[in-house]
Amino acid sequence: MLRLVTLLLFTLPLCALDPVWLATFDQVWQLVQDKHWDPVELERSGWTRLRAEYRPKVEAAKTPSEARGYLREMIQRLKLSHFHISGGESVEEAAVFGDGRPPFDVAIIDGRAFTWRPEPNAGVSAGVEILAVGGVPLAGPLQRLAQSRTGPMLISRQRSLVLAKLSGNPGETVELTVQAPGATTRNASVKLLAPKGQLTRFGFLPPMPISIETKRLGDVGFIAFNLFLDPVRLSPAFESAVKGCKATCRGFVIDLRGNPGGIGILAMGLAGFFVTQPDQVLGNMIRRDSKLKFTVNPRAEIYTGPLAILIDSGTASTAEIMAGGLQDLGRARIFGSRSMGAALPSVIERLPNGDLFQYPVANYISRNGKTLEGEGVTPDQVVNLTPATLAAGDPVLDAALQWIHAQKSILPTHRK
Amino acid sequence: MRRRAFFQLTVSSLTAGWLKALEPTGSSIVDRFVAVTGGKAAYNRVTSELAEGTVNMGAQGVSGSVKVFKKAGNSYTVIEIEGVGKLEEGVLGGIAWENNKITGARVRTGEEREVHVRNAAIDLDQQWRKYFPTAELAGSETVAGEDCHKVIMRPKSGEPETRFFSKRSGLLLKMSATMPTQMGPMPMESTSLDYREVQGVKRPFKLGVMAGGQSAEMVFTKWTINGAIPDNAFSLPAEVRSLVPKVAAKPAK
Repeated sequence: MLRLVTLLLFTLPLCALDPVWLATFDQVWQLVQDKHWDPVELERSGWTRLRAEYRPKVEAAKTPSEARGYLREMIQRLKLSHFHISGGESVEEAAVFGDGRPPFDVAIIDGRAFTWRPEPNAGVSAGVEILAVGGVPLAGPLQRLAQSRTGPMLISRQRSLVLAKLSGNPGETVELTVQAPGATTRNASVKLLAPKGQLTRFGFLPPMPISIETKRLGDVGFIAFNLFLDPVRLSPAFESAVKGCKATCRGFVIDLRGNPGGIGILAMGLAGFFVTQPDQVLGNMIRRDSKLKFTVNPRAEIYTGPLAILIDSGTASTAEIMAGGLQDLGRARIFGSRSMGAALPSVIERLPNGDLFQYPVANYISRNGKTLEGEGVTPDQVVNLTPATLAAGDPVLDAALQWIHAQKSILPTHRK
Repeated sequence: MRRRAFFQLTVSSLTAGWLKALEPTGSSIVDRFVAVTGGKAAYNRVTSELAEGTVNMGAQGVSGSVKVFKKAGNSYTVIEIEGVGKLEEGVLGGIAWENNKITGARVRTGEEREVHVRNAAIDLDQQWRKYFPTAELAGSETVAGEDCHKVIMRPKSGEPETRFFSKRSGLLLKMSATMPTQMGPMPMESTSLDYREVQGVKRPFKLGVMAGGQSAEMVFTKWTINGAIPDNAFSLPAEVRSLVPKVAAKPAK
């Protein structure tokens, strides 16, 4: 009997995957084929050839993970941002990671990770290099990322990698090996904090905490937020911050560092708090069938004084559209480091296998005719970070405040 | 031989002319739509409409509710979506507006205003000639498996609308147009399905809308004609009210 079963097992062909994987492959390929904004460029990129190359691989894949891997590989070959297939291990891993966050920010300088802007009682000070997390050195993984990426995208990925290693459940302790400049290495225990902000849901995106911070820095207004989502809270927060400044603020700072974007047209709405003239254009979204303008109209409450926007390698997509557009309009001065250059308007759809597929549907050209994808927004004033400046505070914000205070002391008008 | 050729030519010319005469005109196709959806008498009794239902952008995982009010040239539509809030638009006394937390409040002007004011008209269907001076038959096309007449309807000014009427039922199944929007001209397509009779007038309970590369489906669960509409249904939101004097004061281009 056992022999019969063994024989049967050997004679069965290696079980091909569920046909849903081929349907998934076909849908991914067809969506890109139908929605890419430039069919000629897509063909030049070898999209038809990629179908012939990858369909048989998916057909022959033995596991969902292998099939998903081929799908991801195929879309990555187009070398464009906003392509992502989430499902399987990435979803499981996200659930395992937990939503706790370290009590400090992470800055990447020359491929090394440093603590920055620590919260009170963080257990580490600013400008300290993080050498290892949980006894595992960071140098190797950070260097490996540098083999496939460069520029702002590399820095952003390296920062994400370090933050992922520093994740866990709120209240858990993470052991670090750190080294302050000129000091010997030491161990530090840091307790993970609860995520900042309120959870929000939008479409297929998982519930995400949206944090909005508004404050006055002396006579300067300030707003920072982590995503262009939850307009029901975000727009009133802008309105309140602008209104709160009334005629008393010398300037206003929008901190878009680490902001990866969100709802594209929210850039239009939020920029509207800082313009006086209607129908101003931030840039153009180029679709296959149309060219749509990101038009800004003044909101009921507006701020007309000096406006500084802070960006870094983590500033992407909608955040780049807003920063770049207000820069092109001559309305804002940009401080920090070059943004990610990932500015293709995209959508997220559910695939037949249940995975989510994010794909770009348009190109984005700035008001001044520049393609943001791959290029990003270049600050008017580049502020390079060093371990010493990290330890001193926030050199990017300091540069913005210095510029604001150097402007004419005439207070802006406040319209209602 | 020559006589036979002449005879054949005459017959074919006559047949072509006869067939041409049998072919409906754009106007007769639109008139037929009015007739099959209730007729002028039924339409003339319509003074207000209220439709409620759901909106679904299934491909994006976005869904919410929709309410549409229309009365005496005024309209108000509100869509509520989780994570986005209320998306409102309306027409009141010729003022076309929109308001939402994403892009803020705005008063529509120019061609965009004209389109929204036109669409708010309660007699848009039965008095279509008032809004579209010409309706021209431009061929046939299959929509949702049905053979349709393609009719190009030209308004007094602005972009034409292309409408597709079922040859079998006479119902409007699809419309395509380039809509003037805040972001510039946007190609738009809508499908109208699941017609049901409400107070003697047939209304599409399922609308598909494709614009800007996104598609949404609205399914109406309640459609009331000549029902009670709250007095303030068409009131301008405060955010819009504050803009009206500025728009009115803007010099014409």
